[in-house]
Order: sequence, then structure tokens, then C-alpha cells
Amino acid sequence: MRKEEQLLQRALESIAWEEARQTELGMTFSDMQKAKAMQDAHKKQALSLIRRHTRTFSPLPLLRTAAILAVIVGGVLLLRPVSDPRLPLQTATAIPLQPYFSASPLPATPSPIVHTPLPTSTPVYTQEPTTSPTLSPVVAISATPSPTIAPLPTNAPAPSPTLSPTLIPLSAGPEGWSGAYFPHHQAESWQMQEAEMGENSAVLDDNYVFTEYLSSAPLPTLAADIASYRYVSVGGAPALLTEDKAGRYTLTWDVEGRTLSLFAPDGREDTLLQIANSVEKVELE
Amino acid sequence: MLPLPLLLLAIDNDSDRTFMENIYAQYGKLMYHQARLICRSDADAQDTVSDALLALIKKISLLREMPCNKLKSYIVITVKHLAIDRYRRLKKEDVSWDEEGIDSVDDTLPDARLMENAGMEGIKEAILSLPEREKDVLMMRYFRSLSEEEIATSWQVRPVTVRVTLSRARQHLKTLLQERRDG
Repeated sequence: MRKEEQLLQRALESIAWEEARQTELGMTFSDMQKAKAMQDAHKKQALSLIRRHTRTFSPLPLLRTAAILAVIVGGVLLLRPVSDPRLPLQTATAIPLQPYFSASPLPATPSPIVHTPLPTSTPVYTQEPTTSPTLSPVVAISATPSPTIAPLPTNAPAPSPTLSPTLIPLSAGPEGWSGAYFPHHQAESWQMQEAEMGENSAVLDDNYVFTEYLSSAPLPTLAADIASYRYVSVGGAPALLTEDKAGRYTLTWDVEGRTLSLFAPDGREDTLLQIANSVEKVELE
Repeated sequence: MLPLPLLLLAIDNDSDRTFMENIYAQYGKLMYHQARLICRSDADAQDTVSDALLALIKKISLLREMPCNKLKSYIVITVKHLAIDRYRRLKKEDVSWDEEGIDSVDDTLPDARLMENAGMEGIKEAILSLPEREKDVLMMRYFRSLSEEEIATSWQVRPVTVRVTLSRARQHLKTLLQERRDG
């Protein structure tokens, strides 16, 4: 700043200061009371004005929302099953990530399922591609290890592929088990676990939790926790095997309109699959 | 009322708000008193204080740098200028703006040596003896740090009018200081 401007500013500051001082000193007690009353009456409006006009505008909230959306979309894309062309799925059923031995692995109210279309997979179990947007594969467990695969009806409104219709009841499950299916693997060692309405849950060696949901209600997706996933075959039916970031496996598949789930917080993957493949329809009394 | 997209992007600036609330709490009574001295009505004085708060918010970064005594002066002068503007508008005072000499606007201040010779008291005396409008425009431009456009908006005149008034104020100041020097 130039010197003459500085000098002028200093002179103006001095004049302003004297004016302010005179104004302040000229305030009588009555003026003070009046000013206070005016301030009290106008305070709400003045503070509101200050609040409104000290807002600044920032793109940060928008960027934050965009980042969250990108993460969600990325998570959904990661869940796309692309690696196993043997599977006939046109849709992928996302599985619930159960809390460790939680009595309520699923929320009481079902959330909408996430359907992720398979863009290029070639169905093997179907003779013609189905046009249906959803698929609930039904697996029938039989004593014979190689189930017969029935082709899907072409353009049928109900797209569930039916595997072998032959069901051979073998095990009743532990005492109190009211579900229709149960693992035959170490059948005597399972213990009932407290579960929500509409569920049956049993635990084996504190390492494996088998849960049967009485319907194939859509399950929530918790993509953020999933570290990896793939489809495996359980009794000839497709099942989704996920591993979360803590190394816990969850296997989920549908059988006759029911959803079965095996959760292994500390278990091994091969044992998990072994247990899953031993799931059978229980004997009806 | 902010449009919805802007409202969504708006975030409260706590620091600025607190700063302004403190100013209002500390100098509020002085502001109302100053406004009422000119406006003569409580309602107009309150409206003037609202205008002043808006004007102060626009200069908040400048205010933050000010020492306490200068801040108080700045607030009082701001209220005074806005109260005068409001009073003139309400009275529909017909202010004649002389834009003569528009082609020969002088942007230079009196020479530094001339001002030093006059001393601080001499400069102040010269400023105080200027016509009210010219004194105000110097105060607005060099003390309140308003641009010519901001002054024009406040006075509801064309920017060129402000430029001419400012030029005339500088010329008058220069003449007064020269007269003082020449005895």
C-alpha cells in the first residue's frame, strides 16, 4: 500500500474512532435502556439473519454422497457371479452375514433382495435360457450322491429348476428341531440354538451354525463386509459361499422354497461343504 | 429462502456465526443507539441494524483482523452510513449528483510529502472540512474498504457517480492540504 494511502487511512481511522467514542459517551442511561429494549425486541430476527448469512456453500456433502454411491455400486458389481459358467443362475441371491452365534441372524422384516444378472454365463442345467428375472433353485437331497437334474420348463412362469423329485427322509435332527432339513454330518453332536420366529438354528462344536428359514424370504446383502464369494454346488444345487473380512464363511442355498444357511465363524471351508452336502430332509413323525 | 440444491450444499459456518453473534452481543446496543440517532424510529433503527449486520458479514474476513478499538469504530461508522442512506431513501431526499468532470477523474491521492507536512491532525482537519458526501465516500472507500461498486449499490447511484465523487474528494483534500502548506 502506498504511503499516502496509509496516511489517509490512519487519519480516517482516528476520525472514526473519535466518532464512535463520542457516540458511546453520549449514551445516557435512558438511551442505554432504550437500546437494550430495541435489541431485546429485535434479537431473534437479528440472530436468525446472522445464521442465514454465515452459511457457506461447499460441494463436500455432494462429493461424500457420490463416494458412498460409488462404494455401493462397486460392492454390487463385485457380487456379480462371473466365474462359474456351470451354474444356471440368472440371478444371485445375496446371503446374510450372521453375527457370531446370534439368535437373530436376520432382521425381522425382510429387505429387498439384490438381483445381479449374469451377463455371459451359459446355463448348463437348463436346455434353454429362462426369461425369468428371478430364480429359486430347489435342491432335493437324496441318499444317492448324483441327483438327477430335470430341465427347466421353457418360458415357464415359475422358473425354479427342479432337481430330483426323489426325497428320502433320513434324520429327524436334534430334539426340538422343527425344520424340514438337517445335516447328517455328526447329526448327534448338534445342539439347538435359540432362534427367531420362522427359523430353526443348531450349532455344531461352536464352529458351525446351521439355520433353516421357513421361507425363502429375500435376505439382506451386506456387501461391505464380504471379502470374497463364489458359487459352489451343494447336492447338485448352486449355493453362494462367501468369506467375510474376518475370515468367516457363510453358505446359503435354497431348497423347496426354504433358505438354508451354514455359518462357520471358526470353521473350515471343506468341513462346511461337507456338512452342507450332508443336509437331508428330516423324517416326518 | 435458498433454493433446494443450494440448501443441500449449504453448511453452517460455526466460526463466522459465533464471531458475528459475539459482535452483536457486544456492540448491539451501540448499533441500535447510533441507528436511532439518525432514523428517529425504532423500526427503522432495527432495519438499519439488520442492514449493518449484513454489511458486516460481507466484510467478516476484514473484521477478524481488526483490533478491538478499530472494530468498534468500523461498526459505528457502518451503522451511521446505512442509517443516513435509509433516512434519505425514506425522506425521498433528492440528492443531486454532480457528474461534471466525468472525463477527468483523478485517481491519485494527495502526495505523501504533502500529507506528512500537514501531519495527522492537519489531514484530519482537512477531511472533516470536506463536504459530507466527499467525507463519506473517503470513509467508505479507505476506512470501510468498500469498492466503488459497493458504494454505488449503497447509495443507489451509478458507479461512475461514485468515481467522480471520490475523485472530487481527493482533489478537495489535495487543495486543502496545499492551502494549509502555503499558509
